Amino acid sequence: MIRTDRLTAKAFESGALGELSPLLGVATRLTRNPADAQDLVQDTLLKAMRARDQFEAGTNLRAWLIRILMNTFINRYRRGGLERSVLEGPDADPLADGWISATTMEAMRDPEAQALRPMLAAEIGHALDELPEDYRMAVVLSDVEELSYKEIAEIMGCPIGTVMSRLHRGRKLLKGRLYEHARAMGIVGPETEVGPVGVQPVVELDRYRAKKAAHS
Amino acid sequence: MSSSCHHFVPRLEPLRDGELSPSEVVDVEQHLSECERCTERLRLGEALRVSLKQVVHAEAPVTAGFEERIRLALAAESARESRMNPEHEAQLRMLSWRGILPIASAAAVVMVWAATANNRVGDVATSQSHMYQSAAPASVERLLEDLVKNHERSTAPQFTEASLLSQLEPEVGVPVRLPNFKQYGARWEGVSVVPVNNQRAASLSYRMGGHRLTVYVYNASRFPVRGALKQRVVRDEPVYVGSRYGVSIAATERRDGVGYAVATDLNADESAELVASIY
Repeated sequence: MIRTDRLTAKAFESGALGELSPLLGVATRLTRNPADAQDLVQDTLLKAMRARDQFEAGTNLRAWLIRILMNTFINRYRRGGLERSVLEGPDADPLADGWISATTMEAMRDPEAQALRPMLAAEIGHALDELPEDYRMAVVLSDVEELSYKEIAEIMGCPIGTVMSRLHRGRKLLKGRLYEHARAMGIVGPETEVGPVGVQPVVELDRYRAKKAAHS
Repeated sequence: MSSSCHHFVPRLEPLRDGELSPSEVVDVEQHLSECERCTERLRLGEALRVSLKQVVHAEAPVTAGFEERIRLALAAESARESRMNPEHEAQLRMLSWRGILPIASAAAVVMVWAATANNRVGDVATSQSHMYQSAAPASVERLLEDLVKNHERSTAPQFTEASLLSQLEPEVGVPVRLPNFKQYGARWEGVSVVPVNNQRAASLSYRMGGHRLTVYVYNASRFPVRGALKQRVVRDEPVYVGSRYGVSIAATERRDGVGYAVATDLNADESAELVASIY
């Protein structure tokens, strides 16, 4: 007799295959290595298949799978425990991007594509990988995978307030990096307002180029 | 920047993330209609989100090979589960092995197969196929023996509907399409999945006059049958032929990695002709 109260292997399989793209996206950002990311996704799905009784029908399968992926990554692919960021805590300066003017922000966008200008978009992969892991994950789970704060909090094992702070800081750091890049590329001019402490808006071109060369 | 920005800026991201209550949304939108800078903040955030999505997905594409690897891994896990869980015995019987092998040995076959599938198919499968190709002829002989034995057993097929063939693909690991032998007057009678030397193949049964044909469809990189057969060329395509225990076997490997082998009581030339027509 087949139990009817559990997700059948077939139903799980088709659901899981539909989530391959988000899982691989998150795994690639975690491992920063395509082969490891594929292994991580496979391990995750096998674990999830064995544990599918624990999945609550009606909840977000993607969020559940990403939670397992995250735990698998922490347990198997990363030695030691979670490297919690030293920058934890509420943001003392919610207006930290106040130094970027409306004109500059507008110049960084591509109004046609409703995305960043292509030259800046090309820089995002690097900028994302340079974020502290907790920030990077919060940004990927929210902006790319469209999970709710609550789902992200469950995945990351932290309060919702911490998710909000990680998201805000991660996005702020990204914008800062992209602004630096836009300055170096001559896309935007210098800001007249004073820059915030901790982010250096004035770019030394030589240092910037050395960094670019190191990436390529 | 108006002084009220201090109040609204921390709400812009939650607004974009869909995490504000309806009344808060109204307040923030009121502010946005009056504040160019906050509007621009919101737009830049949205542009960042769109670009992030594009970059993350572009840098982690789900290839057909990866999807196939996951399918195989899940199918193997599902088979393992059926074996471990007696509640699934009914389901198990509906699977491949009815009457072909005792359940216990069939399960052992699946476990070996599952262990294989757990490896990284992309890289490791290639090295495995090299390994199999250089394997001792004994294992290749066993493979041929399995093909012949299954042909001779002639058990009732698992499915007789051609539309259900695609359901076997996760088990077999390659697309299962029906070779058309109508020009030879052969009629398709049904299909089963059979274990063959640690692997699984689809076994298609045909009847042609008074003869029975069994056509196996399998992942060619894991079935090095050609190593034990003689190559010949039929209509410019290589086919591999031989006979064991009075049953003639002809095999071919297509460029997409799908292997076909025919086991019949016809002679070698006729078998070679049949398998060559699969191209």
